[in-house]
Amino acid sequence: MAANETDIERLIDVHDATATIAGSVLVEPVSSFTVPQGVKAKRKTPWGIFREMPALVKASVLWLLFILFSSIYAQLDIRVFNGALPLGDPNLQLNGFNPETGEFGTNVRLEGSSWQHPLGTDALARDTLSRAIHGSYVSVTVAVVSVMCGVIIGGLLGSIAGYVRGKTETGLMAMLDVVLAFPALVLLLALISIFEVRSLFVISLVIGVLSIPAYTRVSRANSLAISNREFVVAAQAIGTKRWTILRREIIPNVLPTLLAYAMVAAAAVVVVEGTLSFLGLSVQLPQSTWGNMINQARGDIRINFSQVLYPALILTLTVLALNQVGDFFQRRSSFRGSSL
Amino acid sequence: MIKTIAFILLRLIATLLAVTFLTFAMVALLPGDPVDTILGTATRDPAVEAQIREELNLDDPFLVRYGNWLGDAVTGDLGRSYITSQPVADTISQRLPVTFQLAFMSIFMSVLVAIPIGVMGAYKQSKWQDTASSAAVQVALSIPNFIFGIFLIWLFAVQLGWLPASNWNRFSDGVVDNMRTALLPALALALAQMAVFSRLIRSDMISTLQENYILSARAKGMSDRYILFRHALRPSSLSLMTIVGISFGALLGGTVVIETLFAIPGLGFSLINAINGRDILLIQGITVFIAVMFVVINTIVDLLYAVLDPRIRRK
Repeated sequence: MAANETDIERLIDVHDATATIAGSVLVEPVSSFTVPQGVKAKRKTPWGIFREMPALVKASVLWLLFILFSSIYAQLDIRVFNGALPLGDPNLQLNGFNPETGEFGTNVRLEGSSWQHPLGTDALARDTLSRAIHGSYVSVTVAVVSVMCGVIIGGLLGSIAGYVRGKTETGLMAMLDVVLAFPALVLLLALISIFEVRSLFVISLVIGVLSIPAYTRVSRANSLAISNREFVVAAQAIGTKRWTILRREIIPNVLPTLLAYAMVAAAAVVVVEGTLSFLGLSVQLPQSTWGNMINQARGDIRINFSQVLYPALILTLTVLALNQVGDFFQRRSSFRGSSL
Repeated sequence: MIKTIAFILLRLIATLLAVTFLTFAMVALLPGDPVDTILGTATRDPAVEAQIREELNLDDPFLVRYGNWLGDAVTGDLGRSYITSQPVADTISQRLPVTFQLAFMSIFMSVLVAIPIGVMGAYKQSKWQDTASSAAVQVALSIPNFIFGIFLIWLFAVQLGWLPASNWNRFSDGVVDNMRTALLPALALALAQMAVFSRLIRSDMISTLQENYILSARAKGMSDRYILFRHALRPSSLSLMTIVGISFGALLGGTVVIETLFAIPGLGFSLINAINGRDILLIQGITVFIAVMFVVINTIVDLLYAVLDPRIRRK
């Protein structure tokens, strides 16, 4: 009996090459050697995945969490605490007229870093740190909406297309090919120009809908490969319904690759939103975004380059971090896929 | 062979129809009346209004209007701007050479830089040269082009004062003046492409270098440099050609931000101006033109591929 258990342990180790031996084994004691039902790849906790990351990827994850936290903090500040949290008002013009005291502010515009304004102030003497933190909300929202649209709608469509095949697939992919036939930015600009009011809702929805085709392609390719695997054939052989196979066999296997792709796609979306706001075609002013901060500060690069530098650095680091994490998960999921 | 080409051409026609239809529908189904744009919403003469409606065929059914518009577009008539009343096709043909030059220059520069970087990465695989260049490529891929553009302006125009920060001199005004204004924008566009190209060349070369004919060339005592650039690079030229073609098509739309940043009178800049001025027909014209160019260029790449690579032909 003990021999059986070690056998199964060895089996698990072969099965999941990344498993740590020290961890407890998920197998219940077997009385006789039948089909080892408990044998499955150990699911890693988020902390376990984090620990196996290279240092650079770890730093990227921390940076992304920081950006996420900033955006939530900014929204809490506005919506719940009415600006009572320790963070300057992003739209307060410090040299503007203050109706309460009846005086004009004394702050000089384009001020350098100080304790009061760690990243300095912009051309209208607004606190840059506060603007950057409030700007993160726009980038995060657009990225999250696009990932959700892509993974839920694109992932579902692609999984269906790859598994069901036939006319459904041909029709669906032909429709998506038309969207992909446009250069992405031009189509986006044309669609955006239709809307008179460019709220955050409209911007993230348009970008979200336009991200669906690429996700569909990725998940279709994976679904195609998975549909030919032995466990799908086995499920078909015992008469499992199509939808059940799709739900229990195809989609859970498409998802890891798709989520890895989502990271890289989110990086592209953050750049696209930055581009739009740089062109003045994203959410309306005075809402700060990283892109419009860069655009507003670029006229003054002869006086003070730092006001362009900070938002540019934040945007670039975010894109870099998303790419790093996406690459890490892509390597990881392709490694797992090959070892299955 | 002929079957393949026929299929590609058929697909081209279908895609073109779909793309033009989508662009037309996007604009035609827009809320708001073009007559309002032309005459303003103030009091107006019903006779004039009826005449304009007649001229623009605004009362025809949707599909008829699409047919008419497509027929005109094929003959090079994209209508007149409601705002400047300049023919849209004229605007495009004036602006196109500028965008074309930028796209061409940036592709040229990125290929020139990407080949040595990619070849070195493959040759010194997993050594420090490879690690360093891969890291640089990663970073280059993550810098949005408008940010790199501003950095270039800051460095070369503000700090060093070597090149102008914006503006554009036409090619006919003198090659040197033209190059001085075109260099920075082309460089800004080239960065990301350079990264993509060198990544592609590296991964292509790594698999090529494991082939037997490389081994036999080495056994004959040929120099590494000769093998790398004469023998190993050649098979990569096909995939390089593909990506160059696709990038060129994408650049026609991708120059939008850089043209705006450097105030260059190209297609992208006029698209942004049209959007800001709500010049609907100009938006439609430029969008459809860029999309058609994009589709056609991608098809040409497909065709060349089919002609040059016998493996595709057989499928």
